[in-house]
Amino acid sequence: MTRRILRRLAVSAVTLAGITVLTFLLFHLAPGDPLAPLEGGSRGAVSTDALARMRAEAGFDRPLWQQYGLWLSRLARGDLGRSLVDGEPVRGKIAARLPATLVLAGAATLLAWGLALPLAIRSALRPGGALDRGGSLFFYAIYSVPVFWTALVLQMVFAVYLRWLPLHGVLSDEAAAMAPAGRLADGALHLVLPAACLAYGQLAFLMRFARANLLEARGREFFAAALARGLTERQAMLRHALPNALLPLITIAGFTVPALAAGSVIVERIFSWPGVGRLLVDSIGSRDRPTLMGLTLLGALLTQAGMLAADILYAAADPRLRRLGEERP
Amino acid sequence: MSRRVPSRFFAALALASGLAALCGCGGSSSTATAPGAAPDSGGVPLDGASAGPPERGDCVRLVDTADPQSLNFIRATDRFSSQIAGLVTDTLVQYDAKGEVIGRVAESWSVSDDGLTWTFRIRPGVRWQDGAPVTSRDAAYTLERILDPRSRAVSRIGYFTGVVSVETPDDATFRVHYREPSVTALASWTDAPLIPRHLWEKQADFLDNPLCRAPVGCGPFRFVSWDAGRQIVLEANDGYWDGRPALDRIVFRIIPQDTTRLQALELGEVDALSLTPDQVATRADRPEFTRRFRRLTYPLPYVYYIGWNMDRSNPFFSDRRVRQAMTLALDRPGLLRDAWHGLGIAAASYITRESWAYNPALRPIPYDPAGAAALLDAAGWTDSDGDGVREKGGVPFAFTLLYAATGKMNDDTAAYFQENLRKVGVRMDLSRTEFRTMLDLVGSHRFAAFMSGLTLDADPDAFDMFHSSQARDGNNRVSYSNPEMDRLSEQGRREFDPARRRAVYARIQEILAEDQPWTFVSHPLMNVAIDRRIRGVTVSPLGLQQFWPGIAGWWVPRAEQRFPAGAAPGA
Repeated sequence: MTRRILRRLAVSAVTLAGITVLTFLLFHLAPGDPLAPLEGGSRGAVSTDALARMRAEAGFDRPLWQQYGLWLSRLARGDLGRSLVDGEPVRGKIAARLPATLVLAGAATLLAWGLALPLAIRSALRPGGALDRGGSLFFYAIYSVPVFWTALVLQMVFAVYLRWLPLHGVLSDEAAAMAPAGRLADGALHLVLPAACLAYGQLAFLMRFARANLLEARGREFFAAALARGLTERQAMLRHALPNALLPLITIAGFTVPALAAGSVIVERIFSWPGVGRLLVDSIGSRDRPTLMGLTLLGALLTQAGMLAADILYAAADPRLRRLGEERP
Repeated sequence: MSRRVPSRFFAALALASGLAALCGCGGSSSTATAPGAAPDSGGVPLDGASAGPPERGDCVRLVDTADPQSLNFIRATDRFSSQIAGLVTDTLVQYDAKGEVIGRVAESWSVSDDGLTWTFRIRPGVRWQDGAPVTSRDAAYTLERILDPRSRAVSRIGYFTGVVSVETPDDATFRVHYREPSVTALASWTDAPLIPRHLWEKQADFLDNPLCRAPVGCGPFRFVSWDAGRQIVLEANDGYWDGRPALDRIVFRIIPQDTTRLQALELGEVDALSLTPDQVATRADRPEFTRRFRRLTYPLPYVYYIGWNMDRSNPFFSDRRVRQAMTLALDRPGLLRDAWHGLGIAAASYITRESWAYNPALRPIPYDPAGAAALLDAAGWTDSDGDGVREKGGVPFAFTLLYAATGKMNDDTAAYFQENLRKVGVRMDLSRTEFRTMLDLVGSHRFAAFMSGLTLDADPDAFDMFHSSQARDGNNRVSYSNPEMDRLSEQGRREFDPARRRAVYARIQEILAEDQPWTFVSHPLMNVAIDRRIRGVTVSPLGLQQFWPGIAGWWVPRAEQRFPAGAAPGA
C-alpha cells in the first residue's frame, strides 16, 4: 500500500514538473508584452529606453531557461514570485481568492453528489420506470444547456422576479451588522444560484454513471444471492450493489476537479464571485505571467491531489487491491 | 490630458463596462443632455435649476468590471485605479469642469521666461489623512517614484521624461527644471497623484507595500476597505482642506458581467452604470427605467480609426489616392446609424469638436463609393479580369484588417466595412485577435491595416501619432511621413501663443484630411444611467470624473437619501 502511494507520488511529481515547463513556455512564447503600455494618448508614450530598463529590472531580458530556473528556485523556497500587474506576491493574491472558489466548488460537489446518488439508486431500482425515463431525459436536456444561459435564466427568475435569492456576490450589504448565524445564512443564500450552475452539468453525468454501475451490480451473482437470502431489492441495493458501484465513482470524483475549475471561470464571472477563476481571466488579459504560473501550478496540484486521493481511497475501499498490495514483496 | 491607459477602453465601451466609462473620459457638456431636459451649458450641473446648497449624507454605489490593478497610484495603469486616486488623493493642479487647469494642492505657479523652470507654491494647511502636512518634498518624492524604472509607471513616466531636476528650497516651494520648453508641462501635473513620502518610505519596497492595498492621500475621500473581487469603500474626509464632500460614502462594486450589472442597477444595488448600445436599445428607454434613472449621453475624447500601413510592406496604401478611396468607400454614417445605434459621432479629425483646437472648417468625409472607384481607377487598380476584385500588375487588391476581439461592436464594424469594400472591388479579410496580441502585431508593423481606438489628451499634441520619427516606437504605427506634418507637430509643442497654436493644429487637421494616414471613423458616445436622487452631477470635457470636483461634487437632498449615517453599505 505505502509503496503504491509512493510510486503514485513520484508520478505526480514528474507530471507537475512537466506541466510547469509547458505552461512556462506557453506563456512566454505567447504574443503580448506584459510591460507594454496599452496604446494611448499622444504625450504618454513611454520611451523605448525606459521600457528596456523596466524589462531588465524584471529579468525579462535573460534567456528563457534562466528565467525558468529562477522561477523554480524561488518555488523551492515557497515563493511564487511577484505579480507583474501590482508587484504583490502571487501567493498572497491567490490565497486571498482561493477560499471563495473552494467554498463554491465544495457546495457544488455536495449538491451534485447529494442529488445524483439518491436519484441513481431510485432509477436503478426501477429501470425503465417513470423516474428513470423522465430523469434521463431531463438530465440529458440540461446537460446540453450552456452554463451562462442557465445562469441568466436563474438570475431573472429567482433574483429579479421572485426576489427569493440574491442576484450576485457573496454577502449582502447588511451582513456586516448581522449575528454570526445570520451572516452564515446570508452567505448560504448567496451560494445557492452559483453552486446550482456549477453543479448541474456534473449532476447529469454523475447520475448516469452511478445508475449504469448500479444496474451492472444488480445483474451480478452476489445480488441474486442477497435476494435469495431474503433481502428486499432495496436492502440488497443499498448494502451490496451500492458499495460495489461506488468504486468507479471514486475515480470519477478525482477527475471532476478540472471540470469544476473550468466551470468556476464562467460562474464566478456571472455571479461576481471573488474567486480564482476571475483572477485567472484578469491575469490572462494582462499577461501577468507569475500569477498565471501560480494559478496553473495550483490547478495542476489540485488535479493531481484529486486523482491521488481517488487512487488511495480506491485502494482502501477495494479489499482485492488492498490484499494484492500487501502480498507483493 | 487623458489617462492614456484606455486600458481595455474600447473593450470596455463595447461591453459597456460599468463605471469604466463613468470615470475618466467624457465629452463636452454642451452635448450632454438628460432626457426631458434642455442641453446644459459647459460645466453646469445637469440639475442646475433644482439645486440648492448641497446637503450632506447618503452613500452612492458605483460599479466597475474588475479590481483595480493596484491602489499604488503611481504604478497602476488602469482607469479604475486613476478614479480612486482622484478621490483619495489630490494633485498639484487639476482640470476644472470647463477643462481649464486650476490649482489644487498648488495654490499658485509660475514659469520662467525661458519656459524651462516651473515653480509651484504648495497651499498651506493641506494635510495627509494621517494629519501630517503636505510639503514640497512629497511632490518631489511623487515625481521621483514616477521616474524610477522599478516603479514601472508606464502610464505616467512619458509625461515627465523631459524633467531634468527638481528643487525643494522650502516646504512650500517646488521647482521643476525641464530640458526644453513645453506647452503641456503644466497639464502633465494633473496626472501625478500625490503620495505621502513619510509613509511610503517606512518600507523599502515600493511595489510590495501595505499602502498599495490601503492608500493614504490628501483628497476629499479617505480609503476604508478593499474586498478583492467584491468592493472598494471610501468615506468622506472630514479634514479635507477644501471642505468635507457632501456624500458620506462611495462604494465601488465589482461586477464583471454586463447583464448582471444592468440587473444590479434595476434592483437598486448600484446607482450609476454606463450602458451598452444593446442595453440602450432594448431596456433603457422604458418609462419605468427613465423614471428612476437620468440618462446622460456625451462624447468621449476618443477616436476610433483605421490605420493604413505605409511602410511599403504592401502595394496599396503608400499611394495617397488609395487611402482617400478607402475612406470614401467606407460607409461610416451608415455604420453609426445601423450598427452603433447612433452612439457615435462621425469624425473629421482625431480632435473632437469640443476641443478649442478643432478646425471648424472640416467636415467628415462623405460616403462616396463612386468617388472611391474613380480614385482607385486613377491609381491603376482596375478589375481587368472581371472577377470582382481589382488588380494592378497582376496583384489583386486583397488585404487583411487586424482588429481586437474586444466585443461585438468591433466585430460588427469590421463586417460592415468588409461589405463596403467588396462593393468597390476590394477584398478585405478580417483578422480578429486578442487585444495584447494585436498591440504586438501593430507595434512590430506586421499588418496592412488595423482598426483600433485612441484615448485623446485634452491637449491636441500630434507629435507621437503623426511625426515621422515616431514610426518605430511611438504611436505612428502606420509609418506616416510628411515633412510639413513633422515641422508643424514640432512647432505645436513649443508654441505658447494660443492663437498661433490654434492655427498650427488647424493646418495639421487639414493635412490629415488630405493625406488620410488614418480613416477617422467615429468619436463614440457614452451612455450613462444615473439614479435621479443624485444631484450635482457635471459632465466635463473629460467626462464625469478626472476633473475637480467630479464625484466630490455629487450630493443627495436629505429627503431622498437612501442610507442614513452609519447604515451605508460597507459600514
